[in-house]
Amino acid sequence: MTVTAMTKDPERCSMTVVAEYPATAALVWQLWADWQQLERWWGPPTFPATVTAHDLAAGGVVRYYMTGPDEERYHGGWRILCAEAPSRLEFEDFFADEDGAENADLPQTRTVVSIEDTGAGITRMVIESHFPSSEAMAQVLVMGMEEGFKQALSQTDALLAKQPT
Amino acid sequence: MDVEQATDAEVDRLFRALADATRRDPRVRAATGNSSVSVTARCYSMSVTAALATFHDVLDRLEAMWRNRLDRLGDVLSSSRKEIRHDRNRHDEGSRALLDDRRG
Repeated sequence: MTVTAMTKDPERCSMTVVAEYPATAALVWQLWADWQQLERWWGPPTFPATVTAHDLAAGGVVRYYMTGPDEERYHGGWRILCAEAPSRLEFEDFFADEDGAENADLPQTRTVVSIEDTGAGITRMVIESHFPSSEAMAQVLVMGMEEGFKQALSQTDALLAKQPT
Repeated sequence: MDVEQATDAEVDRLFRALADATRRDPRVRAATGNSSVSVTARCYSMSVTAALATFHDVLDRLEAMWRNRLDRLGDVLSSSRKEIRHDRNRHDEGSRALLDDRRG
């Protein structure tokens, strides 16, 4: 099983997932650092991701869009805060319009990826993702009653519908 | 955190956050002229329990998304390990050119 542990902390508006892979840390890092590899797993089969920019360095930006079954494109990206191959990646994600302009009204999450070689050919990757505040999470709820929620989470909805865990 | 076990403090915190977020929503301001917690709940016809359940649902969705994503990452990793090792140099050259094309 890929995912070995998971915690959710509503107080800190955060969620942590731990996964282990039978590979070196360098190879796991490649799945983030090589945009063609990234495209193969970032989006679910029903919402495949297409990467249009990929500068995985502090201050850099990654841009992508996901294409839904109705051919509609959902644009987004990451602002890279820290990228230290092969062990650490930190970014803020954002939603964007079709011209790539950032939509600051939609909530952003910050994600920290830690990749560690545990020895014995196993690499552990920890993903910590959190909303900046409970207010930001509440914003998702407020939007949830409105159409904004569809924009922000339609990808996840489709994913959950098509790919039950 | 179980919804049934939510403390009063947590409920307060959630509704304060909801009120803050709602205050900035121009539709709500226009409709009500104020932004109290009770107005927030009334505007969106939410019970405290429903609001808390939805609050946790946001984290649940985030978790489900990452679980699926990390499973897919594992699949890609196991299917392409050899390919990455053997083709890295050639791959990098073509990869950069393709991304430049996409940028236009």
